[in-house]
Amino acid sequence: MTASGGRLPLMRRTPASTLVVAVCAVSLLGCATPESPPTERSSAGSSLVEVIERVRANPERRAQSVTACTRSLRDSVEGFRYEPFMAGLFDVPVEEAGTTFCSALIEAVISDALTAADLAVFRRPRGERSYQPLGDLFRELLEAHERLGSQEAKQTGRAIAAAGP
Amino acid sequence: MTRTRSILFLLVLFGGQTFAIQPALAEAPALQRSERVLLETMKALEMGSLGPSAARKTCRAEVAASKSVRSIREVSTGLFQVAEQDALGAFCAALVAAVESGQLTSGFIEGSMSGNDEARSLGVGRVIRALYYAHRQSAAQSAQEAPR
Repeated sequence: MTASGGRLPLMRRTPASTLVVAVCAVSLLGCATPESPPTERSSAGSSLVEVIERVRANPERRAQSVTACTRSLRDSVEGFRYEPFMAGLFDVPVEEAGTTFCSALIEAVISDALTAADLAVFRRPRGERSYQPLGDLFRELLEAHERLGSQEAKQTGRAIAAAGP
Repeated sequence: MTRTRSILFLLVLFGGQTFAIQPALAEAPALQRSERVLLETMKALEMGSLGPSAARKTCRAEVAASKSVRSIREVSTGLFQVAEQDALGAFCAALVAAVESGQLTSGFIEGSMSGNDEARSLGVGRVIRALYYAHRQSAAQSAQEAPR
């Protein structure tokens, strides 16, 4: 359902919302059946595609984008709990899954590992696309999550070193 | 229940439901013949009655014969970043390596397959993760072992 209560035709989905559909469909929970498609826009704020476009242009807004992404996902995928799938993929507790997924997604966008063209692939009708982009997406998300972990470890190390003995 | 159920999980995952947006695992689907053979192969590998090389070979043959071959090949091409003609080999190598190393354990699989939607969803995520890292580890080892 859209924020206005209408249903979105499948083909009108934006790349990022389709991305979410792909991800949740992979979880095999049938989160976005034709009877309950995800909303294009969160009722509480920006759609995921807007969040992605904004952070691509303003990478310094990483933290705000992760928050907006998490909110967008929570609000837009009705009846589907994507968190367990993400918790498994990233090996994190379920309660951290949304933030972890969004952090990885935003990192992948900022680092240009996921380009606008990559995401646009998900807009194509199913018959015109391969499953390969889904595999690409999982790999990029895992790699982005790993980069974030490394950065955090370095920062922690520097902080400990700066604090001294 | 054994870890072999995870293979079914994986095949269902990749087996054409990915974009179909359907609750594919709402009920346990019937196994294809190739899936059953693959499950038994992985079970034998886990028990040590089959070696990894033979397991990979059987896996390749069974996946190639399965209805899911196209989707497995395509997802694996992206996930493992390999050429399409190498994708099934990479998939089977990662699967065998993950089972051999215990990254996919029967206890975990049992829980994820017999559990509720949340447990199964968690299981799919973990299987993809296990395959990805098993592949990466194998690739790193191969690079180290390559003659200089």
